[in-house]
Amino acid sequence: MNRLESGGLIDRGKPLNFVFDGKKLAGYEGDTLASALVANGVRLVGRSFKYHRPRGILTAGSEEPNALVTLRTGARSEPNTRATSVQLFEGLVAESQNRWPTLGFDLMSLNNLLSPMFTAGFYYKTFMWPASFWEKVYEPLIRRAAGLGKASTQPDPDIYDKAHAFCDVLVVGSGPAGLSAALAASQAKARVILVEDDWLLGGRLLCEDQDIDGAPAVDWVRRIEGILTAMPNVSMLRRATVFGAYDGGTFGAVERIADHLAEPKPGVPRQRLWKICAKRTILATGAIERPLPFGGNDLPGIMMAAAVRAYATRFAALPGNEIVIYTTTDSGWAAARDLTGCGANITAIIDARASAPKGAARFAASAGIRVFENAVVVDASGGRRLRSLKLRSADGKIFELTADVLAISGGWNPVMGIGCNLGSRPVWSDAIHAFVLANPPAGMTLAGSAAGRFSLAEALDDGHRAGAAAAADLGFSPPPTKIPPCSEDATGSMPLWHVEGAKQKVFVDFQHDVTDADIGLAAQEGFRSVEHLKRYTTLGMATDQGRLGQVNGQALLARHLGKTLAETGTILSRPPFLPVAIGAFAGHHREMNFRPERRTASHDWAAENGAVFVDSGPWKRAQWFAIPSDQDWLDSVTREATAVRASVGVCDVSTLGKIDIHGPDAGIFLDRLYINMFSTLAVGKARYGVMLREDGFVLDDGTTTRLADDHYFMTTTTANAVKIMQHVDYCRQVLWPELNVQAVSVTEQWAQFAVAGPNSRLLLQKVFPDLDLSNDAFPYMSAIAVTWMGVPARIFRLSFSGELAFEVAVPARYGDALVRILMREGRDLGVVAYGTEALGVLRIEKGHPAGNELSGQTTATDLGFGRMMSQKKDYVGRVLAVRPALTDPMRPSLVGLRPAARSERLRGGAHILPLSSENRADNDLGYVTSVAFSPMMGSWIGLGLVSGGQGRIGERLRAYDPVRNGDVEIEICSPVFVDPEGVRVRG
Amino acid sequence: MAEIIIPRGAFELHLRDLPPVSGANTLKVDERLESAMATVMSRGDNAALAARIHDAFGIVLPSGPQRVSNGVEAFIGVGPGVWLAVFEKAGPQRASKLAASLAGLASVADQTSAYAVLRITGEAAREVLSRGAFIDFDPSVFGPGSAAVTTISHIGVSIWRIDDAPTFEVALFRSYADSFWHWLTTTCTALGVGLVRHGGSARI
Repeated sequence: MNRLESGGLIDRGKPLNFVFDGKKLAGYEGDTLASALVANGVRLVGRSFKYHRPRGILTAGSEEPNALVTLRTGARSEPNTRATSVQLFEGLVAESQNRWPTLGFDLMSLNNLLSPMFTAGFYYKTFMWPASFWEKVYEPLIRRAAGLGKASTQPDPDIYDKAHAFCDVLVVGSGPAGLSAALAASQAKARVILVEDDWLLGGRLLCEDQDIDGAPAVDWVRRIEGILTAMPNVSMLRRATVFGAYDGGTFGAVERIADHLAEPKPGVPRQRLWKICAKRTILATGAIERPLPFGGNDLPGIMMAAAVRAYATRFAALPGNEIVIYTTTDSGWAAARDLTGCGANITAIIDARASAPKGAARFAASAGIRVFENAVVVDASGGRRLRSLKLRSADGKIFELTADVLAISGGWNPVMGIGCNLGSRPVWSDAIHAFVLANPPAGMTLAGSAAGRFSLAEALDDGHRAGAAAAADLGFSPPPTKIPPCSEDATGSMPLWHVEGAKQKVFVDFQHDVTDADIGLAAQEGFRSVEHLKRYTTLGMATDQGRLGQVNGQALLARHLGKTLAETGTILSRPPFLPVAIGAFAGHHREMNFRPERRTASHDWAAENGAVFVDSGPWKRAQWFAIPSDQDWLDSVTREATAVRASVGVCDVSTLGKIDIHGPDAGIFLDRLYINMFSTLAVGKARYGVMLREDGFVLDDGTTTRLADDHYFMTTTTANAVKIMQHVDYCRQVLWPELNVQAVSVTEQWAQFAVAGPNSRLLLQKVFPDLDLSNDAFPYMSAIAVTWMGVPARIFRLSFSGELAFEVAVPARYGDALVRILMREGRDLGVVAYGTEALGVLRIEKGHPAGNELSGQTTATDLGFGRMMSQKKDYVGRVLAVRPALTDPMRPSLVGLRPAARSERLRGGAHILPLSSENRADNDLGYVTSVAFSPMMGSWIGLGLVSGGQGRIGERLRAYDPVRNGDVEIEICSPVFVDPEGVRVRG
Repeated sequence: MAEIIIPRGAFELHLRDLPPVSGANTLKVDERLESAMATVMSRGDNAALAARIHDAFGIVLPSGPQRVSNGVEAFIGVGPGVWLAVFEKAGPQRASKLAASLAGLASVADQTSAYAVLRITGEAAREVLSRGAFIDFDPSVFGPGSAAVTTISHIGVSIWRIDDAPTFEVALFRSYADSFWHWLTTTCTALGVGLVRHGGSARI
């Protein structure tokens, strides 16, 4: 065990058992999975992406590139989870990844020996020839060899939630700067949201032995936390990551509600996706320590100095017994002091700078630590764990040291990814040897280490000023506050990008196995831009998004090009800052609730009566109503269609779009919208209309009724209801604002039922006994608004079936009552309920085009509406409808189709070819758009779009269906199969 | 046919299953079936329309997303020149009467049945609604009389606040009621909030 006997923010009274790679281990409450592994002396935690090199824990934060594990098992297993961010829980099970058969003995590590093949641009170079090998050989091979954990293939058993929040000041990060900022802004009475990635507030203060206000910094953190908790204007989100900045001060965050539990409590979501709208934002996201370049710098045991410091200080776990520190920073020395304070055995400190910081010699001497100044580490060696390292002093002398941990500190990169999301570009600062965000987006301030001000005093001061300024900017008055004094915290550093003479690979991007040689090769091959370098070498494209090693790679590129980092720059980071589970974005929208559905007023009644529902856009519509004597769906449909032609049927047509068009100019407006006239329509009459798109093709059709001089009631197809409402609004608001027209969707106000069949009038007279619905009083295409049992109702004499038919509408809340009354009153007449399939049969028998024919590729003439196109007025689409291609007489146009042999079945989508012709596209004459079994004809019939259309009536062709191996001889006929004279409809 | 037809609430079956008593951390919900609603669209002269409405109802027609009520009638701004008129305890013909009284100044479309209106009362109402709508429901921003047209769970909604209880009403197209209910119940469960029937106006 590497656990210290005292200290740290762990609860030794609460041991937790867990399993890593099948081995039973134990940690304490307060541990991360990584700290518990460190405490258990586990060195090897994974294999690298490309070369399968052994890897250990490198960091103690979410930037971890190596310690990626598959957490949990079965349906809850989650690959590529950073062990450094996982809060330990009782019963945790984790598996290492990317190794076979075991972590210790990985056959794929042969890749390491083949590494000359896997250089920069390997993918592009390999995929040169032969092209046929790309998909079949190379890609599967590479995908199997390279890669990390495997996703579970089982459905996610957990639920995910969504939430929104608004605030004056959003503070991201709760280190010294973030806490100061939140305190200052909230004391000014601003509404503050503080978001912290960890389960504890405090950031770096949890991991360093610092004093604030004369007491340990952790006490200060607890005190500020207490103050903030008590303030009603402060909300805190812990275990939450702000992953992106979006327009208008909007941020995305994911809160891990139950990730620290074995499984969420019933009904409690696992994660919650937050959309946060903030007037001002303070990024106090800290900084990430840079690795140092030397051969074999990826060996298990080589760790970031800040991470070793965190494991010792916060988690009371020492990763080794013989620690060497290699630094170019003052913070590396501070780490050494904290480690010594914890009782760690540091044998040597190597500082690549010309001289160690002030006071270092005295500290080292008192602790018995050997110091190498102006020296660099050249190579580390040891196989599966660090055993020794070779260093070179300024005069070229080589020293060899044994060590089981090498803590490295190469400088600090401010964490400002969120600040770059909206396009602000980081600039190089020679003062702090790092990129900083000089021009953050409007409303955003960076504070503390995130702004490149690395010392504790600067962080406290910076945070306070940023918090107070943000509040003041919004009109709040921050009270005067004293910033507490704190420990000294030196921040000197020197960048070091390259070491000469390394014998082994020098890693830059640990997760994607990008080495300094890869960067050199890319530069040699002509890559000049950091963005191209990224794509070519995959530098920074792994799950850690290059937060650890990217700048090192960019510096190497600059070095190869003979430029400065200020000239070559860095890349812009895009959301998400950390990987976010797709489930969090989906929220409650999955399976049956993937999208909202719409139900008609008669839905429950239909369900009670055997309805099988079909999706019609978001609507659920009854497709047919099965009764026990029906053998199959075709039986049901045929029974329903037959009953309509023989007696009467009722069908819910409420899903059709309904738009109220009002205003003195409503008639003129409709004249411009439809190809035919509506201003001349008499009050109380309905008319069928066709609309075109601006490009001359048919947009939609439907009947529109004039209910008053200044009031029309338009109907659209179900599929296009929303689109036509938008079109109407666009036309009246943008195209013709001079017209005094108002429009609003009333689709939901009315439950509307088609009552069709020769007995429909008899049925309606029973329900509306006071109305005269005779042919003389209420001829075809009439409409009337009445009061029925105290509620408004409308009756239209419309027919989509070709039968004597009506449509009856009542306010939707009475729709259920109406359909039950219609069915009750029609019982003696043998009334049937019919669904969309029978509706389709009836309309196909009458040759009425519907969705399949209104495909967006048909003109009014194609569909037989050419004569409706008014010559007396302008309308949308008129000009482009007469383009030569749209008036070509050989365009496919609407015809009827029937099989030459009555028993043959037609198939929708079949192509129409001449009888004796090859099955080739250039023989194609058109295709079958709609088919139905026609009870009236006693055979399958169809509608189709056929070149030359009506001119081919009587001609024999064939319907060729390569998908279902159909080849049926057909006869082209009129699309109107039933009652071509239109006697029934006027009956 | 001497019978009465019974209106059917879009949330009726869901509400019927709720417990009638309130306890700790509960939200009272009820569907508003006894009010009439209409979309009122200005024909251009908003000032004249506002004057007519003020004369008729004593209501100052709001020019933004607000609800102004006289206790019986209310007008809610839902768009430029567009309002939702809500009339308490009004019959099915209320919209046509309104149309007649605003003739020439506004076009009126009856929407009494189009919208299912859910009344939500309780301490947790703000938090529950904020889970769905990207609207700031903080009392300093969304006080009584505030209104918003937005979406919850991909469903278009209009929300307005009635009082300090706080009571909110959410209007949505009635065909979406079942999907909305799914969102409401899963969200309440995630928050540990229980749903109960509105005590005072239980119709069931």
